Amino acid sequence: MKKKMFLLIITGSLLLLSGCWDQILVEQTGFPLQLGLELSPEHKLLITSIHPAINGKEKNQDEILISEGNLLRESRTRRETTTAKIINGGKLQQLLFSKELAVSGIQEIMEILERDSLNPPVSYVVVVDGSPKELMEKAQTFTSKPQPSLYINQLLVNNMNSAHTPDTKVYDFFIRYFAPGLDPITPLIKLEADEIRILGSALFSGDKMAGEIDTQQTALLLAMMGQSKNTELFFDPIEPEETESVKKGISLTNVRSRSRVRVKIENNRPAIDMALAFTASLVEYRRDALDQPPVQKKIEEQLARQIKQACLEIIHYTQEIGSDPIGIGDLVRAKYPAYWQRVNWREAYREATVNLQIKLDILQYGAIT
Amino acid sequence: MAQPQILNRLINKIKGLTLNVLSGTGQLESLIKDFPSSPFPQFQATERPDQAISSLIRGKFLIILDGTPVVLSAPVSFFDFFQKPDDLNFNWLFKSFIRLLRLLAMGLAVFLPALYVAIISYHFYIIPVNFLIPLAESRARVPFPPIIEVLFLEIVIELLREAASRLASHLGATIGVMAGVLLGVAGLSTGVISGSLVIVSMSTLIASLVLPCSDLGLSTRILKFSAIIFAAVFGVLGLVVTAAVTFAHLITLESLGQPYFQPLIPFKLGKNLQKRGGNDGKPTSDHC
Amino acid sequence: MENRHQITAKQLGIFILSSQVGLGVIGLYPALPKTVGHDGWIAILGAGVLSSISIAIIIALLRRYGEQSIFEINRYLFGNFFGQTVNLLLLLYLSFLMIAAFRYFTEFIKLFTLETTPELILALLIIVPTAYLSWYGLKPVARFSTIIFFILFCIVLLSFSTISRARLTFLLPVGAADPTALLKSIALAFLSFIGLELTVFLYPYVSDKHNVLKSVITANLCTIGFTLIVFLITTGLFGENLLKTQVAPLFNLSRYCRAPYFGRVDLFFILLWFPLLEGTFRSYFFTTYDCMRRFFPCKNQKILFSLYLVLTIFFSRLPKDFSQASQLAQIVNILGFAVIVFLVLCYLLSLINKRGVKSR
Repeated sequence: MKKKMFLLIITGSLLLLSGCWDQILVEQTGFPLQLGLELSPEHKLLITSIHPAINGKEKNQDEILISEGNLLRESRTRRETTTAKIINGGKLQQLLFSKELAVSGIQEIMEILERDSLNPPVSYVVVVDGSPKELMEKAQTFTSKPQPSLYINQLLVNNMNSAHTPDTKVYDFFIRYFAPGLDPITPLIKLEADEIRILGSALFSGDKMAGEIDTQQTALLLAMMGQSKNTELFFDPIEPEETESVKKGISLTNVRSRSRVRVKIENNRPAIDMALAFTASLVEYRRDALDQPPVQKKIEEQLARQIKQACLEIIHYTQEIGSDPIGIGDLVRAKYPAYWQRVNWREAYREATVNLQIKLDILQYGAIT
Repeated sequence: MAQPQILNRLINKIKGLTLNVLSGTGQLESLIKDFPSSPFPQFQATERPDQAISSLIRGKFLIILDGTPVVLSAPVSFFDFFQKPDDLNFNWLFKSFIRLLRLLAMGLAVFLPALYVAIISYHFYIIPVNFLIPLAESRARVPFPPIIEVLFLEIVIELLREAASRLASHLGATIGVMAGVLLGVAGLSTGVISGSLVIVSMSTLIASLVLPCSDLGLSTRILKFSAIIFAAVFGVLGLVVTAAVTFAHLITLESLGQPYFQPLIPFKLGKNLQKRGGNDGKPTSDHC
Repeated sequence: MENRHQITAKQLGIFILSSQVGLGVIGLYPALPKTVGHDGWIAILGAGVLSSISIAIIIALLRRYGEQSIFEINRYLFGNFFGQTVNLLLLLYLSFLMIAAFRYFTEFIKLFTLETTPELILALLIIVPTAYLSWYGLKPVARFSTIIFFILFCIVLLSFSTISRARLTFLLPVGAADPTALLKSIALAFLSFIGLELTVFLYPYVSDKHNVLKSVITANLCTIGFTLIVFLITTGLFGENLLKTQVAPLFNLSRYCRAPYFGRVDLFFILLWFPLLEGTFRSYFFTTYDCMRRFFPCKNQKILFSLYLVLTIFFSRLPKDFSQASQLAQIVNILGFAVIVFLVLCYLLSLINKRGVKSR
């Protein structure tokens, strides 16, 4: 019995004295919430990280660290030489790439985040129109916004939930990058005078950014991709309105959608056959006999036409820039492997014909009876 | 409904003892246990007649020692320690709820401080973003590593418990409250302990007070400290290993040859869904 | 504790299940997409059917000899000397597999949780629960294996939580891989069913022998189901090209999930990984120890057991690094396959050489 106790105490104290090899103490760690990546004038990676300053002189401030290097890890080590904390990316929320860098390809840079098990692949990939460094530095001066790192995080998360911008995690980016016939899309933000604005999404071709679309287009594109979320849409008035009122247009809320995409090969060209069914509630519109079924039917048809127009525009745009976020290529590969082997998909996608069917079902017309 | 071979086993064990002094039932228990060095109680000690009666009715044996108020009942399973005879007065819904609550309390009492140590010193990324900043701020004022901080507070709490049980009941309560409040406030303001740890330690204390059986309470306290030490060295892995060893031990344990973790492993559906009252008289023994 | 090795057929099934799943999870999923891409599920099904057939044959072999384990059977079949040689080879196989599983297990724990902790200390730590259980015999080991159900349940739950992001098209077109690769991959997929051969070593300990066939086949079916679900979900989510680059897709599945509020949930799955990986190691550790004890009768069990423990840790340190350790997994695959083929051949041989066969 005594021997056992002795052994227990010896091992316990030995472990405690020698142990704690992997220890990362919270208070000694700088946990960047955002990492900004851009190209420096010397054509190296310029990396800016921002983490909440713990017990800083002023409350609710962030610590910004900037360094240059060829590798993420290299620059992390450089950043550590200027701060009192040990930098650990375990809590990274967003990766902000400058547009310039995104155009030249970003997959290789992110690889370490997928590989190292301590880094979170759940962080979001974001493209900044402009310089991430400038955005982070400027964000410190916003007086009416919360702590910048939390502000950027919350801003993006909320807009992802309302489908204004896609929720692309590092893994989602990798999945779409590696899958043949499927291209990534990421959120796109921009620094404005006293705020940061969500512009919509950046479309990629492979891992290179190829184009951009706005927030409403993003919502529609997400619907076509089958990743629809509860969102809001705004449309032009149905027919030229005579009133001189400021209030114009239609607003839909609670928009949900189901999509069905099929492909065929016709005349050696892919033919996309897409059907989208929306349900929504109409919230804001001129009070005009909305309880009459014929009026309702007319509104639904007119709106469906407008949605169709917008969707077609998006598809043609993606064809033009050679990005395939909907995954038409993936469908072709699954259904017509022989054809897929034969053609270069980027070329074939440009020539694809589109047949789009939109059905809109308005479930509620406000509280109007 | 009681099984004679178990009784024979018990009688043989007691007959086999050669004793000069026997001062209490606890001493007897430690002499006739199947696993003498196990921290878990293998006999249920009680002073309450209703508890003893309910044990008898369920086919268990009682050991009554002349001159002591405490009676031992055996064979017991791990889950017997989470039941009280008054539970039967409740509706089945409340009864199950209370028992689940006690199991949860046991889990918290053993693993909560260790989890705190593991997360604070190894896995900070599991903490939600919004909570991470206040937590890091409260920790930044403490000069000691989490393990010292936790051991300090836990030992003080154990001392307090021990002291409170020595004193007369009204005095004990007052001193307990005063010491708790004063120590907490002073510790926080001087930065010896962090605010988040106070929450963790107090929850652990409350959870350990929920357990109806004092013997089991002692084993949870021992386990708590070993879990803290392993968590401090290996993080959450140390926690898992402690849990795995504890679980392995519970499965290996037997009380008078009966599996200790009885209705769950080996699994017996009929026993888990006992009828109200639960005295259907089926024997509990078979070896598997 | 009387009869501390006696178990029921059901417990044997659970024991086999937990030994099968652990190895498959870490070894199979990265290897399979490399050979057949998204058609790996066909290989898993094929290997599953094959393994079920071999279970039926192996148990028929055991039934012919009544209460005996494979060691006694070999002596009937090949004579005393050759029989013992074959037995020694089997024992070597078990030890090799046990050590490979242990090394692999340590490496994974190191890779995903504690990167700079000395491996020897890690090995000492994670062997503790296994050693404790094995010391107390087969019954506690088999009882402990029951937690495999909880772990499988959690993993399946995790898999289904990501199903909305999975693309069916990643699994199409069916049968794109060429037939020779498919055949090769069936042998590869057999890795996730290795563990069923433990039946032949532990058969004498089972109390209700007529149920053994049923419970081991059920365990095998569970393994097929679980392996299939995980393969389909990981392929459907990640796509074959990304899968080829990953070491442990099942672990990445937990890294993929973004939980509300917490953000990262991978820590919770480390908690599950430990007992899952330990399952395989535990089963082999006990079986090897048990066979050694029968092979080299020794009065002092304590000394034998401690020697065995020390040797396990020593041999598991021999591979130099992770890549050497993962090459071990391939050898394990081939060896396991060979042993199962050998057992099937034993059955055929027992039809000719009828020495020792119990007549009904």
